[in-house]
Amino acid sequence: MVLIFLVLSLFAYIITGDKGIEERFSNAVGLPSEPESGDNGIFGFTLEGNHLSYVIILALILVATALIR
Amino acid sequence: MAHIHLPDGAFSIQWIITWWIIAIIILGLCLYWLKKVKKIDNKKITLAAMLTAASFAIFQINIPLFGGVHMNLTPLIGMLAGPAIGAIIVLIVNIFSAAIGHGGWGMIGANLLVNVTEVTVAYGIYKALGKINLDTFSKAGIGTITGVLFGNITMILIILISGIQGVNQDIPNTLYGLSLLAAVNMGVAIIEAFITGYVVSYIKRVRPDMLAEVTPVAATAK
Repeated sequence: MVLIFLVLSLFAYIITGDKGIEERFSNAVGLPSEPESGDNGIFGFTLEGNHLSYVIILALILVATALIR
Repeated sequence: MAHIHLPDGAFSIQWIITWWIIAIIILGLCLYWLKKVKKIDNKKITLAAMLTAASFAIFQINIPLFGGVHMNLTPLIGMLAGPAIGAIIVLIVNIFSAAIGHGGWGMIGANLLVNVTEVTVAYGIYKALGKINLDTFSKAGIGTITGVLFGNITMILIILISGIQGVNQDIPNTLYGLSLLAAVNMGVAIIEAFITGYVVSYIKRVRPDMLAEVTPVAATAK
């Protein structure tokens, strides 16, 4: 099962080309899209959305978790 | 893992409201179940908060695979917290994600349905495989792949039913495009299956009581 899905997904990747998830989505439904640009992050890993908001919200969830505990 | 990555305005207002109403009904049923039927204790609430933090943290990271993909650990949420708490967790993650600019506000209702499908199917498959002589890693892996597969099917159905505003593309072409996208997603589902399988196996080894709801035998094994 794992091999079947891997082969299928590689085929789909080759057909659709190398693009980000948002661009892939827009192309799939026929919406105009722009290539995603931005920093290359760390080893290609990048953060979506506003970075400061991300840190603040994650910190708030972690504080809430600690308080509940 | 499946998530509708479309901007606000892609769906018409009546469909945004429709998906929101269905999502609210499901959430209402989950809350009723948690309040009246399945009482939750502090341990479950702490676990839910930890899963929310983990899911939110990982979901915002663009992973450089297949051109850039996201994971949100929904199958893991289902296996550890169950569908009712899982639905609340994915609601919070979707709201916070929209708050930082990852995903549209109007898409939360539709995305909630996609994520609840993943949570519920992964939970159901993992629980159903409980009686079969398989190791935990395989059970969790199969649960994850099946959950994500059904999540992708739900995602495709929601988009096809809603239609996209301002686009002249016909349904067969949209279905073809979305099927390719779902196929790419399934490649990432395999990676998520390995992660979920490893995490669930580890938890079963060190804290079997955390999986008590899904595999009651595990709780007594300690």
